[in-house]
Amino acid sequence: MDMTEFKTYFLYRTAIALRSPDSAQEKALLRAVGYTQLLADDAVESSLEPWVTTKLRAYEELYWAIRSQRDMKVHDDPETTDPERSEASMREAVRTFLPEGLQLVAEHLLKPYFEMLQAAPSVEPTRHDDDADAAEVAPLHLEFVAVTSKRSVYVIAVDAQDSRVSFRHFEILPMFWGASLKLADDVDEEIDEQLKRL
Amino acid sequence: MFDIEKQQLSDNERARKFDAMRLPSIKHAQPGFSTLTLPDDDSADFKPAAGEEHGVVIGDSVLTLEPKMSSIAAEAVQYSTFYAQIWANDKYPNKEKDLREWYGEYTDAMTYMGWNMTAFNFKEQQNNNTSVDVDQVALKMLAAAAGPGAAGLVLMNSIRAGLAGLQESNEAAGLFHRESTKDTNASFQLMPAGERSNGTPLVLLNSVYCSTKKNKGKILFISWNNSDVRIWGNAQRMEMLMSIYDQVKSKVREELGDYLVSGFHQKFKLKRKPK
Repeated sequence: MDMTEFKTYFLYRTAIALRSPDSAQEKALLRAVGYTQLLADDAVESSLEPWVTTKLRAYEELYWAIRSQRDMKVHDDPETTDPERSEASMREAVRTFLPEGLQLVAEHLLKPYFEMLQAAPSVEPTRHDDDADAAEVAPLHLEFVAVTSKRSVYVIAVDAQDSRVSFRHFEILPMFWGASLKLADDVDEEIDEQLKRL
Repeated sequence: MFDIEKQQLSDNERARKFDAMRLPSIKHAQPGFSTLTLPDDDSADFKPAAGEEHGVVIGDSVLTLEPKMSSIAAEAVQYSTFYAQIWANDKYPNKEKDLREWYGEYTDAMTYMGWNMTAFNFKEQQNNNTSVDVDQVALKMLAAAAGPGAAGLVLMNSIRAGLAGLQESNEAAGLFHRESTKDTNASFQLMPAGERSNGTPLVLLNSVYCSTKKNKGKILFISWNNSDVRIWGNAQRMEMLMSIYDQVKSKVREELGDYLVSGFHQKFKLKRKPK
């Protein structure tokens, strides 16, 4: 697989690779990833449900139909928020779940992704605002999204809070494009600010 | 208005008629979605090959898409059928009670979006055997509408594979049975879709209504005693006039986008203002 065919991004804590998207597809996909990130962060902060659960359920509601799915428990210590362990989980998931061609794309992407994650203050893990100990860092959530054709999307989400890695292969139904383009009018600016090319 | 008159409307007149069909906000009208099959596909570029036909359950409709369909044709089929179903559901939420009226609205919407449909003329399906499978009766109706050509054969293979996939998918089958079966009545649509070599979308549409003496929670994939079930149905082969659909396409996308996002926002609300 030729890396030059991919446009790659860093958005919040998600690494994104889009294969030859047109501008409408590109915008719709990036808005979907950004908006679902905000929803999932909200869910974690209000302790409603695990980050990854909200993230993946929101994708499904945006007409990303599941073609295959696997979940993997990465450790049994939900208190652990060690970024290195989360990075190791992501790399293991890439090797375990992605087809061979996409593994190469992910390998190219993850090195600058983790470097940027460490360097950029705006992408530090969420802090609990209402926590008495403001220095306490919430669990680190990571995501890798690859779109390899007009319909096929691969997602790996690492939820350190829930101690698991979730893999999904989605097929995007046509209804997604219209819905997603309309989704994020009120947060477009914030998403644009967070969006960086890798 | 008789359907023959609808067929004779000019392209512009059809587009104007459709322009008045604004979708409602989300309430009872939203059919659910589910994919038909969940093959464990490991290729980096998923493109369904022969034997990997895919499709979706939209409410009480099973739509299969022939593998070689272009994304343009597939989108036209999915958008238009989804739009027509939302429109009819909103006008007549109790489809079983208002079957004729529901299909009237459905046909209007489909016609104005470019499908060359005829009116639904439900006929009771006679059966001389002691047992009857509704899915087999539906397939028989579809085969009669498909005609003898190669295109019909492709579509029939597609819907057979789709029904097999539906049986294997708990999520899709659950959605379909919930949406199609109400107590001892059921109504549903089977829609295998394909594309002519000139890019024209082609669909076989089978609409079925059943009344049973027993509530088994589902209507397909089980055998019924012939005396326990009555089946009415209609099947037709139809093509989309893309010149008409192209006129309404942007409105279809716009309206569906608004409609779907309002449903999304009902389920997910941002609790904080963006930074």
